[in-house]
Amino acid sequence: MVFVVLRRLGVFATTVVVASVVTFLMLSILPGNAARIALGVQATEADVAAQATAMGLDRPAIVRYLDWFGHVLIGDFGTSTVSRQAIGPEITDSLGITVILVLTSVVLALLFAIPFGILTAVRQRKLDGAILSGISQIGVAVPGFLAGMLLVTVFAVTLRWLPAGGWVDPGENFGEFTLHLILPAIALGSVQGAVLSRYVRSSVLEVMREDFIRTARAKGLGAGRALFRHGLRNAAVPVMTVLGLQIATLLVGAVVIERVFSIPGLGSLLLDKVALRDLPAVQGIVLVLVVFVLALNFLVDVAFTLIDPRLRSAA
Amino acid sequence: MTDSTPTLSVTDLRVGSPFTELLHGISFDIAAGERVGLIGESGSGKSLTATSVMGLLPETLTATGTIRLNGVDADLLSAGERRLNSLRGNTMAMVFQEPMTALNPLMRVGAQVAEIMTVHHTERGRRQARQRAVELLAQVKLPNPAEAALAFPHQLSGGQRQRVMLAMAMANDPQLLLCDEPTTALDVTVQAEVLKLIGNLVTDRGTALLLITHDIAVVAEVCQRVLVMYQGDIVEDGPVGRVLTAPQHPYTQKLIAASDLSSVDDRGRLHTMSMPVVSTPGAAPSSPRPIQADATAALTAPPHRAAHQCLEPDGPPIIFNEATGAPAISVRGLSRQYRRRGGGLFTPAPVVHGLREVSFDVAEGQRFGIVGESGSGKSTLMRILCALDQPTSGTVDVLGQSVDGASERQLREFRSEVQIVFQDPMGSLDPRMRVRDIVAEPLRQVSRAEALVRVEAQLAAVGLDADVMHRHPHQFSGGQRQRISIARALITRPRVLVADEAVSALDVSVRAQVLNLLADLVDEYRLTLVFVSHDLGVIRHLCDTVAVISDGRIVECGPTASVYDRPLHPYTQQLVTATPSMDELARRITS
Repeated sequence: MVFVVLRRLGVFATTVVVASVVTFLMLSILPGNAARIALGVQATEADVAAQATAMGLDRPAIVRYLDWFGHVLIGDFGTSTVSRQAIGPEITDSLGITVILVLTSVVLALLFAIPFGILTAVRQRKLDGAILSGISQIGVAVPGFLAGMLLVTVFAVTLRWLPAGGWVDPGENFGEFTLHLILPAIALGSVQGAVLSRYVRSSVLEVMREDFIRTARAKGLGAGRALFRHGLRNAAVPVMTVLGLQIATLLVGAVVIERVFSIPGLGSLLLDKVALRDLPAVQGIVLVLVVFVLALNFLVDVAFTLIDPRLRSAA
Repeated sequence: MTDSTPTLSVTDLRVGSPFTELLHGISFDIAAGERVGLIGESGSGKSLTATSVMGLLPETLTATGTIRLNGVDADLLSAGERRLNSLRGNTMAMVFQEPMTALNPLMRVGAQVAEIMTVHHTERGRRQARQRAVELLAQVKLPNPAEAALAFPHQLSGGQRQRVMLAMAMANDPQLLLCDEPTTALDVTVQAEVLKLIGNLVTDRGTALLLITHDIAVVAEVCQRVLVMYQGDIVEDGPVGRVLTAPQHPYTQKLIAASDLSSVDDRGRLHTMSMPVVSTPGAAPSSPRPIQADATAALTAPPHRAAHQCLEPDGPPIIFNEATGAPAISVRGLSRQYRRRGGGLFTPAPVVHGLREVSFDVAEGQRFGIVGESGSGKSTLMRILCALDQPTSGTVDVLGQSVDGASERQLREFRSEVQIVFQDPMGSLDPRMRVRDIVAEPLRQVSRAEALVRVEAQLAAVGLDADVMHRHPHQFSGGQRQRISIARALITRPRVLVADEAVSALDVSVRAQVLNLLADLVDEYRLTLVFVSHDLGVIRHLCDTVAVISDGRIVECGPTASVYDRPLHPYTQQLVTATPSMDELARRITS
């Protein structure tokens, strides 16, 4: 068991290194001279050459990579070529915001999707089950930004219960922070919840057809009890896969909601930096996103081994 | 209550979907402690009967009639869900067919056994229930019951899992035990042990038993009385001995005749069922093919007669069935090892021996049977013979072509000369292809028009009409699908035909038809046949020579009759005792 986790961890570390190389190469082979981009079109050739030396661009690629990745490992993402400030703090700040937003929305999505999915599965042949199932189908079709704008119109503009946008740091004022979090989290989570509930539903439906559920019924467990004691853990496995993918998409996909609610998250930061052609910053942000997605996959894998004993014996 | 009150009483039970009736008003009683078998073919309604008693019918089906259980005042069919929950697993219990999937894969088996006691509060607490679970596992003869209780289902073998199911079913001392094909998925020797266990458990505790099976031998082993089911009706009901030796109903007579692989008619063919059995609308009837005179002669005088040999413990490796001249298949010192996935960072992955030092010949025109249980290596051997897998060491020559180490290009000719029929007629045909394309697929460099002509002729040869060509596999019954597989295998005019458990998934009546067809075709096309099976009876009927494979080695080989009548190796002896013929069964029962 421990061995399996350690091995997955090894795989995770290796992929992070590979991802860093790929990220570095992708941004290095982009057309255009990074030094010229940093200085703008009016710079003289001499200025550009001086800038290239200052940025270390005259060194071989392998040295530049090792220098960059070595510093990243100790949390130093380098200096922005635009603002001339350290990139690290900017990334961590906006990453923190995005992570809070995404995790809150995922929790909301799960709180909705699990009971709703089970309910629509159990009541599959009943009228209410069919209607609820249809509603979740509609939920899947609604884009997140539309849900966000509707929520703002109702709760911020008309009812004036909640702020329409912006962000307050939790350390600064926790109450305000919560109020500012509610609408974007719901906007982001509702769509994910609808999608997830479809997966929960089909997974539960599949499990209910399994032989061991019939065995449980033959033992004298009622239908509900058989499902809860034997079915849900089995149903969780495919749902977890989808959940991992969803969180990964959300980290980047939250950018639309961040724009709607003017929240300074990582997605917003990435778009800003791309617009400014701030290559070192873009490189750092992309790497952080990639590592996050890989870390999620690692966690999902570990969760699988925890749930399913068949995966524990050195698979 | 008096002794005469039956434990289970079913009256006029009808089960139907909104469109059609599946059980047509069946009635039967089971007395206390009585062991009753329910036999019939797939789709006859056996399982529906059992699930109706348990109240576990699929939602889409409805049941009418009455089902009464001794000591329960209510009719089970009209009883509420709560009442049924208190009876299931307590007063009546059920064991299902598939031990692989019938246990929760994520829960330790001890906990699953304990659960049935905590649900019905028959043990005071969780701890007592767990302790009792270990005792029960000991009673079903699981080795190391305390350890076994902590195992997950995937860590146990099929037979062990079925023992766990039995321990679970018997935990609360039910009045009635229902077993639905409890040993169908198990190896024959394991089957014999599990059947004995079921018999002992119910006899010791005086439990009434309803045992569902398609296998008459299983009923004969365990039951006193037998019910024969046919298309939703019980057509015969009587003591096992009488039904087996003097069946009354025409269906039973045919069923028993078709099950008996040791009895043939005067043309050397198995008895088939002329009654319409599970027929697809519009499907071609199986037309019996005339046997050519010389084919019968070939049967009685095999081209090469094997010596009857047996592997001695620690003895030297033997070349079994060694043939002079150029044998069709020649295997020398064949070993195949697998590396199991895993192992540590520093310890190498454990090696599994699939085959060890196997040497044998198959002469041209011989019908060579390979019999063995799951995990014996018979499938590995078959795959290597067909060049679907490569040996770790040793040489394999088929029709003069060296198979070991050959490239796919070198094997092109080989592929058309060696063809395979697989076990699962459902899974081995692409569901999205039409029959004509499936059968024509092995043909290379043949025009479309010619291919169709050949497909039609080939389908006719396996007893299927030309109009099946445009249909898809799901529109056929199991036996018909196996005919399609055989047609596909024969269309390239192969010289060697390898069949892997080709009739194991079929009902007895269909099995007899397919076996007859195979025998005819082998004669007609002068094929060398390699028939791999777990079923000694099937091999005995079809093959002139048999090799018994166990634990990766051929332990015995010789003429089929000789091996069957005078088995030399202890393993073969065990196998032969576990597969009794009809005559022996009848003798056992009447004595």
